Amino acid sequence: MADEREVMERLFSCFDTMYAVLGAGAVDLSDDAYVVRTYETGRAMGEVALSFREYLVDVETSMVPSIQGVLVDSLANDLTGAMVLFCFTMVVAPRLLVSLRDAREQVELGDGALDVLNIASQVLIREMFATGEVAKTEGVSEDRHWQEHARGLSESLDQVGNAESFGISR
Amino acid sequence: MNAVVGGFAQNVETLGRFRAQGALVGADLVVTPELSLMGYPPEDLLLKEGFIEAGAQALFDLSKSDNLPPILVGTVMPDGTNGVILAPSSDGRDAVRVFDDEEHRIHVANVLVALGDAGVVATATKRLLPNYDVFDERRYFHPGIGPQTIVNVRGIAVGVLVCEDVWTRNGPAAELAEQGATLLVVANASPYARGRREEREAMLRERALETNCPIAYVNLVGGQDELVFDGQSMAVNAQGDVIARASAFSEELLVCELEARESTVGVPLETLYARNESKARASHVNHLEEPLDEVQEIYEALVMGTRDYLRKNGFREAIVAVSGGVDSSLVATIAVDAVGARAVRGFSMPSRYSSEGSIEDAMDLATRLDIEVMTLPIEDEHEVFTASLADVLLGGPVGLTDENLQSRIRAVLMMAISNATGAIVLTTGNKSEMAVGYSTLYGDSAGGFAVIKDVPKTLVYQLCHYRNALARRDGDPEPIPLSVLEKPPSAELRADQRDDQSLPPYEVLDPLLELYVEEDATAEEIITLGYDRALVTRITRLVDRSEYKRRQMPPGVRISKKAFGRDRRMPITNAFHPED
Repeated sequence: MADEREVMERLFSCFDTMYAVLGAGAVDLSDDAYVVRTYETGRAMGEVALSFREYLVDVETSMVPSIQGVLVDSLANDLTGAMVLFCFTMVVAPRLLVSLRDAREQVELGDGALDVLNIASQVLIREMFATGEVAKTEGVSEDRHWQEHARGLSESLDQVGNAESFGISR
Repeated sequence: MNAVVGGFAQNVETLGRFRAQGALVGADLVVTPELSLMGYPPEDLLLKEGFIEAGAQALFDLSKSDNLPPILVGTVMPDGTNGVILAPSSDGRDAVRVFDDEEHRIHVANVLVALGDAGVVATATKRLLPNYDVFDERRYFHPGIGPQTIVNVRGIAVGVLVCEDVWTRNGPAAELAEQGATLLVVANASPYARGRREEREAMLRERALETNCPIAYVNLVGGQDELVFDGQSMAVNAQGDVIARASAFSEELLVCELEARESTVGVPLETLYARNESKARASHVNHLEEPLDEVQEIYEALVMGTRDYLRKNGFREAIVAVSGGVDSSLVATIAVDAVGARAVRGFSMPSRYSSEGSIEDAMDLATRLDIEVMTLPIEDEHEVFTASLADVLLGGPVGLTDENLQSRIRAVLMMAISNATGAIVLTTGNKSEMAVGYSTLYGDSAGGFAVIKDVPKTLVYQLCHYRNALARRDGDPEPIPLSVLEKPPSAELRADQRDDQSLPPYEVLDPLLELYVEEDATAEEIITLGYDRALVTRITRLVDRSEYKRRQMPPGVRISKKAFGRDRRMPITNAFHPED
């Protein structure tokens, strides 16, 4: 059975992975609006990661390979940034929200930890909204490769056991 | 959407998540399941005024978002608010007592509200309230009357229906089409049962052809006590062909692009939200998930039902008495698939009658599942109890009494562990055993959740073989040892005991039970089908006499169209035996 610290460390790693990948990837993107949004989303994830770090005090950073994999893949496959924002809103953030929900329901958490988790959920939803706003500025694409690749991101997570969430422990 | 009954904060969050995703894919309208805001079924929570008020507050919270696509949300609404007009009580009593500001009694309806930027734009009330099988809606709701609800979304007249309303020929769906609806959406909380998906698809085809409208069918996902909702939301075109289908037993945003005739009919449902034409839209439109085969579907239902029962009720660990038999092996495997190996512990509790093979099988299972297992022999307790009863029972317990004593000792130990650790005891009885009372009251039937209580024994074997095949396909070790599947079933409560000494072979018993329990056939009707009279009389009498036991069983996942508990409500005191 996972304990509070283990769960908080896992969730910290999820947010820290998003912070690291989005922050590093934003500068290489070509669409100005997407660059800004990717950077802002990355920064928001970093702020959440920081609140986890402050709660945990002494914690080592370790990337979550499944999150890192889909984000890096989407950055590499669409240099405009559309795919990485799609990946964040449609693939990663919904699963992470389920992990946060599971953590709240399955683990006995102190008030401090609950506060961190609640804020993390709110930030994720806020960033999903913000990403949708930016996506509206772009035209529709008939690029079949893009569409197939976007669908494949979810399937790749399904195959590593992250069909609904990233779990609450390693 | 996996809504939690009474979990308003979680449900608002989940609805917000799907609305945000809807915005990203450029949805014109986001449709959510029946009672998505409060979970289904809320049962007697609906009798609490505070619950209704909390629902209203949650709806207000959800309404605060702007610049998002309009959304249809399932909730309850008092009579007289937001255009809700309900039928008067036929018997003069109030279904739900809610006091408004003027302290008048008012009724509530099961509704789907259309939210725009300004809050509730329109409300569709459920017309047909199901009161059969697991449904008790007339206990809580009043049916809607008056004009039906059509909202106009970007020039499409969307007729709004709630669950049962779509099932009836010449019913609310046809009325909506006559009033000018060119697209129908229906919000559902349709529980899983074997064959249900096929029924839904056939019904939707019939309704689409009747109304000449495409239909979007949105279903709830997740476990709620005995019920499991399987999702599998879908869309059919006006010809009744399924053009989009979501996966079973997981939350998902299904993006449907439906061809519907343009129309000016309906209440305009507009928001400041500017439709998104991004690439993301095309990548998700009209995804058609392949349906699962029946055994796979049942297995997934059992896993989801177990997971959600534990998760939603705050149980963080499950314990299982592993005997080395097929039932406990399947239950332990389902538990591991539901909540992970670290959250499951096995206990082997051998008696003087337990075979070496069974003890080894239990250990082998634990190794394969990678779960912790502890051995607690019950011989000492058995001797103490026997000695205590020696004077009372003139020589001590013998026969069935002695057999059940062992089962009850195990239950005492399991419940003590549950007590101390907060873990839930998963019981391992199957439907065949429960039907004929082949279980021990306060023994093997004692616990928190009866995972396979609606699974007949023959299906238990099929599920085990399916799960092992799944492991082979994925290159993993088979979780259930072959020896468990090959040995004859036995409770091992006396020397050389086998199930077939007390019961007919399960291949004979299960079809007979299906007729009597699920099909509601009488004994005479079963006999006319060619079954042996003596066998039918004996088995049906066993079923009737065991009702008092079943009433005291824990809840378990419903997978059939007639499970013990909510579905099959037989009197305990019952003198109806026409075969005598």
